[in-house]
Amino acid sequence: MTAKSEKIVEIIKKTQGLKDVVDVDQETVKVVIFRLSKNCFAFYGKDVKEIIGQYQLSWVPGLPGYLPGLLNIRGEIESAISLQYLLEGAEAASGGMVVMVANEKFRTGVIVDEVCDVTDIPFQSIVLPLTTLQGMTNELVSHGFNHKGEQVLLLDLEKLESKVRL
Amino acid sequence: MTSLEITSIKLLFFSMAGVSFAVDAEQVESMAACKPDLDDDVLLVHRLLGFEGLVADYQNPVIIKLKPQDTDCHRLLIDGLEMISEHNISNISPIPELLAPFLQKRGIWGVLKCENRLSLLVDFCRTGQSSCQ
Repeated sequence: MTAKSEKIVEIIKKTQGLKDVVDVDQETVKVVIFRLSKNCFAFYGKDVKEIIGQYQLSWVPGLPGYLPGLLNIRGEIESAISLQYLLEGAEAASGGMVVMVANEKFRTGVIVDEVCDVTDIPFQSIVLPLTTLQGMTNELVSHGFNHKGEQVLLLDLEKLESKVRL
Repeated sequence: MTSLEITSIKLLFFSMAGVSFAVDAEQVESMAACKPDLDDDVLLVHRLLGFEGLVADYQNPVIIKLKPQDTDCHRLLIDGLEMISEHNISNISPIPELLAPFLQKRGIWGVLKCENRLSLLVDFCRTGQSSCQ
C-alpha cells in the first residue's frame, strides 16, 4: 500500500469512526415541556395521557385553592390542579391548556399556561435539580435538564400526588 | 328497591353563587316561600355546601322541608330554585377521586351532565349533620 492509499484508508476509518459515534443509539426519555408563569417545567411523557387546548372549568365550593374545580373533558368529569397556586400560593391566572396526567392510582388535569414541546431528550442530559430551588418547587421537582438553552424542571407525579391528596 | 332497578332519578335543582346544585326530590317533603323572619331551625344551605366567606344574598329564597330520615336538618333555606326533572343515571359521574374527600363530607356525591351544564348532586342526609344541630 502506498503512502497515499494508507492516508486514504486512515481518513476513511476516521470518518467511519466519527459516523459510528453519531449512530450510537442514545437512551432517551420522552418529556412534555410546558410553561407556567416565567418558568419551564416538564412531566415525563409516560405520565401524560393527553394535552387539551380548550377546556371548561367549573368552580366548586369547599375546595382548596390549588383545586380550582371540575373539568368536563368530552363528557368525562375530571379534577383539575392549579400548579401555579400550588407553587406560588397565588391565585392562578386562567391557564391556557390542560395536561392530563395519570399513573396507576392517580389521575388529574393540570392547568398550565402553554405546552411548549413534546420531545425525546438524552437520558444523560437529565441532572439533579439546582440546590437553590425553594419551597413547593423544591418538593415537587425531581430533576432538571437544559432544553434549547433554557432550564426545565422535571416534576415528579408521585410527589405531586402526595402533596394534593387529602 | 335494589340498585339494579334504579335507572333514573328525579332531581330538584337550585343554584348558589352561580353554582348549580341538585338534590334527590325524594328527600324533599315540601317547599314554601320564605318569610322575612326566619325560624331558628332553618339552616342556610350555603353554610352546608362550603361557601366559606360568601355573604349570603338569597335573591329568591325558598324553604324546603326534608323528609325525616337520618338527618337532623329538617328545614333548609335554598336559593335559585329552578325545576324538578327526571334524569337518567347514565348522565351522572362520580366525584373525581382527588376531590371526593373534600366534597363527600359536604354531601356532594356526583355530577350531573346536562346540556353542557354541570350540576353538583347533594345528599342532604350526608351533609355535615353536626352543623344542623
